[in-house]
Amino acid sequence: MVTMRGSSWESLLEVVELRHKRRDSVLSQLVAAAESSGVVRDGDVVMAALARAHRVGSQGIGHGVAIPHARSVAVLRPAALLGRSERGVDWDPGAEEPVRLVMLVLSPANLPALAHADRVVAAAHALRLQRTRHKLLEAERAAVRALLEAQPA
Amino acid sequence: MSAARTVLELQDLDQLLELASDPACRARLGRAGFNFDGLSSLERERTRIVAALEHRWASLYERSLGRYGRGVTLVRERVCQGCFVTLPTSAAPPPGEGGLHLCEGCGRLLYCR
Repeated sequence: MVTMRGSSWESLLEVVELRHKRRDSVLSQLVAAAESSGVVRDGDVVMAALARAHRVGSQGIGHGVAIPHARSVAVLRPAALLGRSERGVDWDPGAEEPVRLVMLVLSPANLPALAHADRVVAAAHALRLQRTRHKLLEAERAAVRALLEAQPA
Repeated sequence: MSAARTVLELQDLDQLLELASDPACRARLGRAGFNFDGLSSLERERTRIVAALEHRWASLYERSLGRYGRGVTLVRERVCQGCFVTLPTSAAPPPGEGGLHLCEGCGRLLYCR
């Protein structure tokens, strides 16, 4: 099973420099990156799943971090993409601070719900420390995976 | 929206409902800062999507969901990813063409693309 704790960040697919300020545009950029990597079969279906998940509850978890996630039949294998924004993203109206780190967590439909939840929680756990978030924003792309893997479980 | 796309959306909605209704998932995600304040809207959306779906596909979906826990299963290389039976060429759509089909082996509703 693919998890994301400790040294198991093999599902981190890509680090994306975010160009947009709007949540929907940012999600489109990340889903397009996942689609071109062959992880997503139908980007529109995943976008709809992400929008629906946001309607159920915001995926902005504070401290400038958002973890949008979807478990979808259009996802072929577990993957995560980290988006970084210099300008910040307007994730939730009225939020105290803009989002600068977006970790998109994707799971295929056949992954059990609890396993998907664990992947999402692991992503939140990895981004919980302020110093880690700063390092992730500054790091070279190639160093991001190592930074995430260095987080204590 | 095509029937295939509607069924995929229904499946993803059911996946989210399962996640948001499971106490263990809710507890873990809740501790990480996620909330489920809009959960009731999902049930309404589900009713709307099912109503928009042709009756035949809706009942096949519900039957597949009840029997196997998931309404739709993918096809890869003409193989049903539920029972791993290879579909006959006549039952699989041409490459690049999406659509809904039934697995002759297990009766699952299949999404081919």
